[in-house]
Formats: sequence, structure tokens, C-alpha cells
Amino acid sequence: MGKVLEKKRLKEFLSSVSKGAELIAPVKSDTLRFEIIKDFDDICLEGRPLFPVKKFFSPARHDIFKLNLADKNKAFEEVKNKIKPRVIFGGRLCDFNGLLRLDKLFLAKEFQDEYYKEAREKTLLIGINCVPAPSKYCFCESMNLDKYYDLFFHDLGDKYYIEAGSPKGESLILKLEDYDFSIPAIKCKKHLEKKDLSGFYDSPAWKDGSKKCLNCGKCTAHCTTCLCFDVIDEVDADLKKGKRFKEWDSCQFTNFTQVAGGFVFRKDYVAKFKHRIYHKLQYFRERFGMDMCTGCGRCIESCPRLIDFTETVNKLK
Amino acid sequence: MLSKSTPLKIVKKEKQADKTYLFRLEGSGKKKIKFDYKIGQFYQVSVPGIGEAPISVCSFSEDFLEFNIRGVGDVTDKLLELEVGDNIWIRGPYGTSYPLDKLKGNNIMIIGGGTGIAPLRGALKYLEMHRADFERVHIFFGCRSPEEVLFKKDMHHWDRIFDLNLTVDKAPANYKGKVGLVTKIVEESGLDNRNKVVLICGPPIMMKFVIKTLESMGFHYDQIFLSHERRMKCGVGMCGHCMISGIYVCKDGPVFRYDKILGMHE
Amino acid sequence: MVKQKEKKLRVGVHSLTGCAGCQLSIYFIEDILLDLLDKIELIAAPMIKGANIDGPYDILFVEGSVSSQGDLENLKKWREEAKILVSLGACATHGCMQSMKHMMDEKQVEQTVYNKFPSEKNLQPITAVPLHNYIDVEFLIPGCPPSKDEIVQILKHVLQGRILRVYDKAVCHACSLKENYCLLDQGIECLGPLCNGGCQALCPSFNHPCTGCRGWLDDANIGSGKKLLEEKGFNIDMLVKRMTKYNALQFLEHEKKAKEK
Repeated sequence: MGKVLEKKRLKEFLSSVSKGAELIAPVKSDTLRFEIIKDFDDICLEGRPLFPVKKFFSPARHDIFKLNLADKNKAFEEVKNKIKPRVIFGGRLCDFNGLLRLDKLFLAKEFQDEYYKEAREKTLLIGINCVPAPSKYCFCESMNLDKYYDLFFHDLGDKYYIEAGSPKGESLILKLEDYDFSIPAIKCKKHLEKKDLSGFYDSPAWKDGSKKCLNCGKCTAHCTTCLCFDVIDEVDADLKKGKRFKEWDSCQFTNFTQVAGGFVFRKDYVAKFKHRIYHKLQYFRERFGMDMCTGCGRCIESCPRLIDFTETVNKLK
Repeated sequence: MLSKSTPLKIVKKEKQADKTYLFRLEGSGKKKIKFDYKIGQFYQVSVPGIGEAPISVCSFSEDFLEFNIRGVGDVTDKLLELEVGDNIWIRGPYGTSYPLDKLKGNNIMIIGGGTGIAPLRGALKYLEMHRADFERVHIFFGCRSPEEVLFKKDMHHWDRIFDLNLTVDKAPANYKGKVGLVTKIVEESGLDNRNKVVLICGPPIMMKFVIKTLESMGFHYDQIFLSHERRMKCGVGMCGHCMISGIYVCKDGPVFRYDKILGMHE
Repeated sequence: MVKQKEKKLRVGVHSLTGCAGCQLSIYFIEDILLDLLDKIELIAAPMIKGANIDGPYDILFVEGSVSSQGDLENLKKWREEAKILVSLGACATHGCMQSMKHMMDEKQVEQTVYNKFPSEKNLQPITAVPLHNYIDVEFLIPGCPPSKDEIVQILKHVLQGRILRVYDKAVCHACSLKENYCLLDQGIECLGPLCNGGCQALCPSFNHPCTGCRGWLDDANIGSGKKLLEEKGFNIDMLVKRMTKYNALQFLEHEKKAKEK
């Protein structure tokens, strides 16, 4: 059983849970994006932003080291993270499940990404249920998402039903009134047939799916769980100092697999397309027991040619 | 995410071929460093302000670390400009290794091409140190030309203590050694697969044909260990560049037993 | 590249046929130029300097396309004088507007233009092409105008002795990283997915569609790109004109390849 909050008290509630923290929520200007909220009235819960929340945990561009080229013994200086506590409000189930997937890689046993780790520890996740599915490209219903959040809201007209998903979340709604309700599952128009892809690598369907591909890399930039990155050195004009930074990369670019000397291991459109989908639906599952895709549909919606991998996968027989 | 690189001091720099040098590194401070790397593993080697590149270990010793570096890109070109006394920045070691300690009692075949010979040099050092634990050691190395034969000093030594077969792709008419592809000398050896393990390292195309040759000679895939090269940025299984068929070459490799990666899709 | 540190890098800037705007991009980096001036020496820049020295140059930027016999002679001379020759800007790297001639009847174009200017009869026009059609160049900085950040980066890379690389990711990459609202989704005919970035998606960031001033991606899927624009209801003739504004030659090559397939 959960709690209930009248909509007119939302501001009050959010300002109390985000005290001393940055509040992040969808904001509509020209389009919808997750942004740090300056004014509560900017929050927009209609639709889901086409840009995912991963940028708050693994920024698109992010300095890792300061470089002192002249210093023989201390050339590298770690850049200190300055992450404030945060509350993300208005994330969807697909967004937060995306973080669960990113955890597998950025918080692996052997090596951890410190920025990601700190950002995760300092962020409270408050989600909102999707009624109806915010985009015709959504297919999370097929992806068996976890109930992963600190708090989860469901719109009941003049009030929100709130459920806690963690002890931390629970403690935040202790004082609210109890309410008996059960959150309905998200219904999507689009479906993905789950199947073992290992036998379909040579299917002609992949070629059909990829021939429209423009190589622009939008699918991976908009993906909830794509995390591949490049590491780049840049020096200042005096050539004495510089930085080493991380920037999102994409397996859809030809130079992604290029080694010194110029050889490219994965060049074909089809191979690149297959690599992306196999990583999402096969490779990740083999390693971590869950799909890397959360069914948010962003890769389809952001693709200039609306290439829909679910159609390709559903066709495989 | 990326652990901080540490400086090592270049104590020796030895020319091997055109744009190819062997560097020996030791701790840059006064205190001696004990190295703990395995054969086939690699380090991420940095030139601050230029970038980082994965380089395989080419030695086997607690006291020093050796890299054979060929200038083929931004980072390696710059590394070649460094001299004895300069520092090289490294982090690692990363990845899997040739499991020599588990292969004792076998005959060992070592097949290398070009700079792919470098990581195998460590293996040969190991075999020499543990000579009694292994049966025969057959070496098959291929280089582009007589000038590009790496580790010439070592080659003489290996020729004395092991069965060394060296070939070059092209050579002037007066060259006395073998000329032809490495697959040819492997085939000519007439070896069978009995009680043998093969370690391979070289360019992708060379490894592909060597495996075909071995197959035709009756070798099984689980007798073959090889080392893959891919683009790597992090070295710790995050950045995604080196992934093939869900396998991170940096973390799950670079050394694989061939049957484990059979049928991998690029 | 520069072995002795005390020796300054000798830099030159020269022009072929073009609007000379690319040169300005170099002079616009004045804030950083000051930092670089103890490392470089601008020995020839006829646009801003009275006294100009002929080569040899450590690095020579050449803007404009090869469009006349005179251009070609100058270019060949500069090539001999320069250690590193950089094609600067869309004219030098892709041919730009002048090369639209390739899509038309060349004689007719020349007559239309030069009959109006009889005094320029001795121009001896030749088919406008990028520099690398005639000489080897060490590097290309595309763009109309080229980005000053990239010019600075190239200078730094030359000073560092690095290998120079042309940026080869689509404009969409930087655009998505900036979280720009996609112009195509807004019904604006942007060529971003087909074109080389490296510009930090400057135009789309200001709601101006990409027109491809940095050239097509090497592996641009132009067939699919055309379909996309058609599906969005844009006038494809108008768009082909736009698509060939900077890169007629590259476009024709892509079309030829597509036909061969």
C-alpha cells in the first residue's frame, strides 16, 4: 500500500525532498529535456524527453585529468568531481531501468567509474507512471522492466498515488496519508518479440533494416543505455597544460573500430546495425542476465529515417 | 574510471627496425619496483597531451618491463622520440595472458608475425626459464623483410636453444634465409597435433591463415591460443570500442583460446 | 615537426579563387594567436601584412579553389615551398560554389560571367576543383568559413608534431550531444545526418539547417538521405541544389558510386 499527495501540494513536497539538492525534471522549451529546475512551474510531465537522463551520470563531455606536460613526475592530476545531491523527478520507468543497466558496466566489481558512482549515490529517483505510453515508439511493455525507483508517482487526476521502492523513498513519504491502490502496468502499441538472436546473425532481415541507416549516430546518443565513449587529449595554446576528457562515442561511426595504421574492423552498415542490436538484446543478456534495452523507443523516434529495429527483430524466424 | 598513470623511467632504448624500438623501463623513483605482469597482457601507455595506446608486454621479468614500439600512430610516433632517462606513463597491466603455467608438459609452437612477435618474446623468456617443464619448443616467425626482423640478438639465442624457423615475405636475391609466408614454414614443419599447444600473435589476416593451416594439419581449436588487436580507449571493459560479439578484447582478452571465440562476429 | 624549440614555426597564408573569408578566420583567433606568437611567425599574409616573405614555409594555409591557370601555377610554386600545406576552407577542400559549374554547361557559365567583364579575359578559367586534385596536401580544414577552433587545434597539433586527422563524424553527433531540438523533426530541411561535423553543429544550434559546408561523410548514404528529404515533403530539386552548393564534385562521385552498385 502506498500514499497519496494532492497535486496542489506537489511543489511543497518536491521542495522539501529536494532541500539542499538540485531538482531535475522534464522542462519544455522548444522541446522537452531533463534540466535542473529553477522554477517549479517549468516542470512538464506531458510526454517523455527524447534525450535520456544518462547525461547526469556520464556527461556527454567530461574532463578526467588535468595534464601538466612539463612536469616529469606529475603529468596527470585527477579532476575533482563537483556533484551536488540531486533529485530527479518525472523520470520514467525506462529511464531508471536504464541506470540499472549502466550500473553493470560503470559499477563493475573490478573497475568503477568514480563520477558515475558518486552521481548515483547522490541522486534520488522519483519516477512517474506512463498513462498512456508517452510515445507511439514506446515498447517497454515487452521488456519486463523492474520497479526500480525511490518513489513512483501515478496520476489520479487531482492527486498522485505514490509508492516507495526503497527505504530512502519510504522515509520521505511517511507523513503522507495512506492510500489503497495498485499501479496499472504500462500499455504500449509497439511490441518486441523476445527471442534468442544467436541463430539469426545471417538473416537477410538485417540488411533491410540497415540499408536506410545514415551513419549519423543519433540512435546511440539518444539511447537510455548506450555508454560508449572516446578518450581525447587536448592541450592549451601554450602547449604546457591540457586536459584528458571523455566524450560519448558511437558504434555507428566508421572510425569507432579503427586502429592505428587505419584498419577498420567493423565497416559495413549491416555489421554496425547488427552490433548495436545484438549488444542490446543478446550480448548484454549473456553477460548480465538482462536486456540492455529498456524499450524507451528513443532510438527509433530520434532516427531521421525512423529505422525500427523491433520490426527487424520481429521479422526474424 | 581510468586509474591514474604512473611514470616509469626508460633505462634502455634499442633499435629493432625502421621506426621500431625496444624500450626497457624501470621505476622512476629511487625504490625498485617489482613488476607483476603476465605474458600477453598489455599496458595503456600515455603521452600526456597526445593520448593513450595499448601496448603488449614483450618481456618476462620482475625487475623491468619491456615494450617493443613501432611508430604507427600519434602516440607511438611520440613514444619513439623519447630517450633513455625520459619517463613513460603507464597504467595496467590489463587483460588475459597466455596460460603457460597451465601448459606444462606440452610441446609448444610459437607462431608470430611482424610486431606480433613482441608479446611472444615474453613467452619464450618464460619457456627458457622453465625449460625442464616443457617438451620441444618450435618457433615460426614471419617478418616483412630481413631488415624488419625484430630481436635479432634474441633470434640467435632462440636458434640455439629452441627450434627456430624464420621467414621473410620479401628479400633481396642474396638473402640466405627462408622467403615466403609464415604459413608455409608452419606447413613444411610437418608437425602433428600430438601433445602440442600453439601460441599465435600477428596481424588479423596472418592469424586467420595460420589457423587454417593448423586446421589442415590436424590441430584442434582448443590447442590454439591467440592474441587479438582492437581499438581500445579504457582498457577495462567500459568504453565499448574493442567489443566483438559481446566480448571485450581488453578485459576478456586479448589472449583467447580459439575455441572460445569461434564464430565471433565482428 | 619543429626540432629546435627556439626556432619559430614559419606560417604563411595564401589565396586562390575564393572570397578570402577563410583567411579572416585565422586572423579572428587573435586572442589565442597572442599565446601562439612566441611559437609561430606569420611570414606571409598578403591580406594583412605589407611586407611578405616568400617561402619556405613550415606550414602554409591555402584558401580558394584552383579555378584559373594562374591559380594552378601559384599553387604548384607554393607546394614546393611548403613543408605542410593545408587546404583551408570549403573552396580549397571541396571546390565550393565555383565547382557547381560541374553540374552545368561549363562553356555557357563562363560566357555568361566573363562576357560581362571583358577586362578579365586573360583569366584563363579552368574547371574549379579542390587543391588535392592537383597537388598532395597534408591536411584539410573544411568549412565555410572554417572554424577558428579547428584552426587553433591544427596549429597546436603541428606544434606538437601530431598526425593531423579530419573530423569524420556526422553533424548530428555534436548536435545530439548538445541536446538540440532536431530541425528535421521541426520540418526544417537539415543535411546534418549526411555531412561531416567538427563544427560543433554551429548552424543547427542556431536553428539554421546544415547545408554541408564541411563536405559529405565519406560513407554518407546519400540515397537514403534523399528519400528522407522526399518523405518529409521537401522539394528535392531545391535540395539537390543545396546539397551541391559546396560539394558538387563529391556529390557527383557519390551518385556515380550509387549507380555502379
